[in-house]
Parts: sequence; C-alpha cells; structure tokens
Amino acid sequence: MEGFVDLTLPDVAIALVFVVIVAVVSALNRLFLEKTLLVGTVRTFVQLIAVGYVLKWIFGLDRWYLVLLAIAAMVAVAGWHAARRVGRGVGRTVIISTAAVLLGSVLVIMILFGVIVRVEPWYNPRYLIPLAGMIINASMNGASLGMATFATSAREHAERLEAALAAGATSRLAARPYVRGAVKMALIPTINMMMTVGIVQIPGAMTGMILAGGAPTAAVLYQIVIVYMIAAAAAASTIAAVIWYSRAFFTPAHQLRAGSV
Amino acid sequence: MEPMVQCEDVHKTLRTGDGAKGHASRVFAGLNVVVGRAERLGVVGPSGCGKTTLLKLINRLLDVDAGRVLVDREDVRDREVLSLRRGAQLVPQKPFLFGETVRDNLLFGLQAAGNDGGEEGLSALLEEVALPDVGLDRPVAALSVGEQQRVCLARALALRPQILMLDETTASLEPPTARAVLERLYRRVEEEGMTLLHVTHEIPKLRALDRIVVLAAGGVAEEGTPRRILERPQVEVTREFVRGLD
Repeated sequence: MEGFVDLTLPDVAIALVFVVIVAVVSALNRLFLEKTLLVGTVRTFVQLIAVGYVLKWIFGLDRWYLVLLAIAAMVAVAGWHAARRVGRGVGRTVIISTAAVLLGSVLVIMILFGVIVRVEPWYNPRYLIPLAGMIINASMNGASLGMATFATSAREHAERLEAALAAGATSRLAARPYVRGAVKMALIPTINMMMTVGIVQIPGAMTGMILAGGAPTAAVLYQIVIVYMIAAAAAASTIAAVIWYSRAFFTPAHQLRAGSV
Repeated sequence: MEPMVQCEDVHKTLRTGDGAKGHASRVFAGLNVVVGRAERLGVVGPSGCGKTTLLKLINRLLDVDAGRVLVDREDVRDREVLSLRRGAQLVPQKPFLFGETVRDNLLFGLQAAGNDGGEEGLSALLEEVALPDVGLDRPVAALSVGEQQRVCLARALALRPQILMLDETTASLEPPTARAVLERLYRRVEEEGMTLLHVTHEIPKLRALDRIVVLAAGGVAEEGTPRRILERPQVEVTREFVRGLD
C-alpha cells in the first residue's frame, strides 16, 4: 500500500531508549519501577513478535474450522482470565464467564460478518481474527468487571441480602439492586469509550488503517461499526455474566450459598 | 401443647469462606426444642451459642446438616420455601429497608408473593409499632435507626405470620419506645395466636414470655419459666447469663 513505511529492528531499539530513560528516572528517585518496567518491556517484545508469527500462520489458514478453533481458543482464554480476576470459587466462575463471553461475542461476530462486513470467504482470517479479538476482549472486560463488582457488593451486603430473603423475597429480587449496580459499573469504561472516541483518543484500529494507507473516511466507518459492536458485545456478556454469576450465590431454596459470601 | 416448631436432633456446622481458607464452627450437635402453638418463647445463651442460627433454620435461611426442623408438623424442606418464610417472619437486629418509601417496605413481602392487593391496614400497622406520625410516603432515607427498626417490624406483621421471630429486634430502641412497642406487639401476638420466638438479653422482655430456653454447647442447657430461669438457674451457663443481665 502506498504511504506505508516499514519499521526495522533498529527503529524499535530507538523507541527502547525512552523506556531506559524512564527506568533511570525511576532508579534515581527510588520508585522501584525498574523491575516491572523490564518485565513489561520484554513481555511486550516477546508477545508481539510471537503474535506476529502466529497471525502470519493463522492468516494462511484456509480451513474454516481452523479459524473457528483459533476463535474458540481466544474465547477460552478470555473466559479463564475473566474468572481469574474475580477470585474465590474459580471452578464455577470459569464456566459462567466463558459462557458469557461466548454468548456476547459470538452473537456480535455473527451479525458483523453475516450482515455488515461481507468478506470472501466468510471465515477470511485477516478480517475475522482481529475483529473477533477486539470484540472478545470487550466481552471479557465487561464480564470480569461485572462479576468482580457483584461479588464485592454481595459480600459486603450479605446481611441485607438475607434480610430481603427473610422478608419473603426471591433470591432474584434480593440480588436485583446488586446485579443492576454491577452491570452499570462494568459498562462505565465502554460508555466512556463511546462518549470520547475520536476526541480523547483515536482508536487503534482506525490508526492502523490510516497508517496502512487507508482513506480516513473509510477508516472512520469501520471504527464506528467496531465501537457499536464492542458496546453490544460488552453489554451482552456483562449482563449474562452478572445474572448467571448472581444465581451462583444462592441455592434453589432461596438461601445464600455457604462459602459464596 | 400442640407443637408449632419442632427441632429434632438438629446438627449444624456453619462454614464461612471456602476451600482451604474456609472456617467451620459447630453450632448444634443434637438440638431438641419444641415450641407450642401460640407460645411465647425466649431464646437466650452466650454469644455464638446458635440463637440466630436456630431462627434461620426455622425459616430455612439455613438448612440442617442432620436431624430435622418441623413447622406445623411438616419438615421445612418439604414446604414451599417462600410461603414458609412469609409465615415465619424473622426480624433481625439490624434494620434493612428496601425500595424508596415506607409503603414499599410494608408491601415488600406481599408483592414478592404476587399479591398487589390494597393498602388497607397499612397505616394501622404503623400505629401498632408506635409510628403514628410516619406516613406511608415517607422516604426510608429520612428515618432514624429506631424508626427503621419499627418499619421492619411492621413489614413482618404485614404478612400476618403464624410465627414471629425477633432477634434482638428492639435493642436499638429507646427503652420507653421499646416497652410501648413490645406491649402492643405481645398483645397482638396473643390476639392473633401467633407463635413468638424472642432472642433478647433484657429481663423485662424475658419476664413477659411463657418459657425460656438457654442454648449452650450445641444444644439446650436448660429450659423453664422465666421466673425459674431468672431466679433459680440450675446450670453454670444460665447462672453466668443471669449474672450478666442488667
């Protein structure tokens, strides 16, 4: 594509100089950031180089089931990671978060590729993998934040939950204020993103398209679609995750489950 | 005496947390208690003896590990749990209100039961708990703790329960208010033939009851009339409890 400037390893080394400067400043001021910075720097390099090769390989895949397998792996990692951040009782949580990520992202990916971005063949990995990645990431963040928020407030308000049950409420009714609060909280980053996109930050996908020589107007339409899809996926996964997760705090007899709070 | 609540050889261990970090404490190991229909029973004992746990086993906020709990001669696990709870109202020590207004709270249990019926009797209920000046539209945020506690009591009464369980419910009220509320409450309990379980540390409240059970060490340490328990305690636990009373 015209206007696209290739970077070389020496260019990367120059960018590294600035990280070194930060490390020196940190050491001089005893901020103890050096070790974390070093780990972060190495990880960024290794992970992205690895992803480069993996993507090169994946883009060469011309079997639909291999592409779907790659997406399934992304969903599994996202589900596992979302549950890990929630903490306690990971066994059950991992099933819930994975199911929620799967529901939200797959629904959105199907609409995106079935109706909006019609590529040939439909599983064209050059499109499917990066877009699915963004959507799954949004689902993961929403589900994870929602579940963590619900867990915290349910534990904090266990007595109140029990009082509602004692007063004759179903567990669903008792949990409702906390479900609502957790969904709202988890969607704040997404809503903020929608409010400020293009003003505070130019999103990565758009930047990438423009850097690669695409017309800004074409990049903008892509980005709008991506923002809508990300918001939809995050909302769907968050709602599913919080509702399913909240059920796990109660027994079928409308009791608080021992060990959950 | 026709039994209303029967605890038969109840075993219960409470677990907090889970897995390796969990903590378990044995509360009951073979508890046997019978509460008669329309009886007013005081429940006392040292902290951690299971007073609150006993109440929660009756309305099934908790399940027994072994043994059984019968309400109206039926195992609580065989009853539809929401109707069991509406019929066996537990009013905890800390007041928790729901929704926006006093009305929301008095209708809370009724609406949860799918009964969107009228509001008749609700204002009378407020009078019953010595809150005649608090209107149904009063926002719950504008209530003092003592008022909140009385709204909780009214919310329980609104369901016309067969069993009323008070867990230090009036502890946060000023003594004169507490006395006024309890006097009316005991009268209502008697008129409606309600069965009362009252966890309390206060002698005047205990004296007004029919019988007291002292819980300790996983079961009943002793039981008897308030007079007998307060004046001639027979086990050390009770003696200690009576000494500790104000």
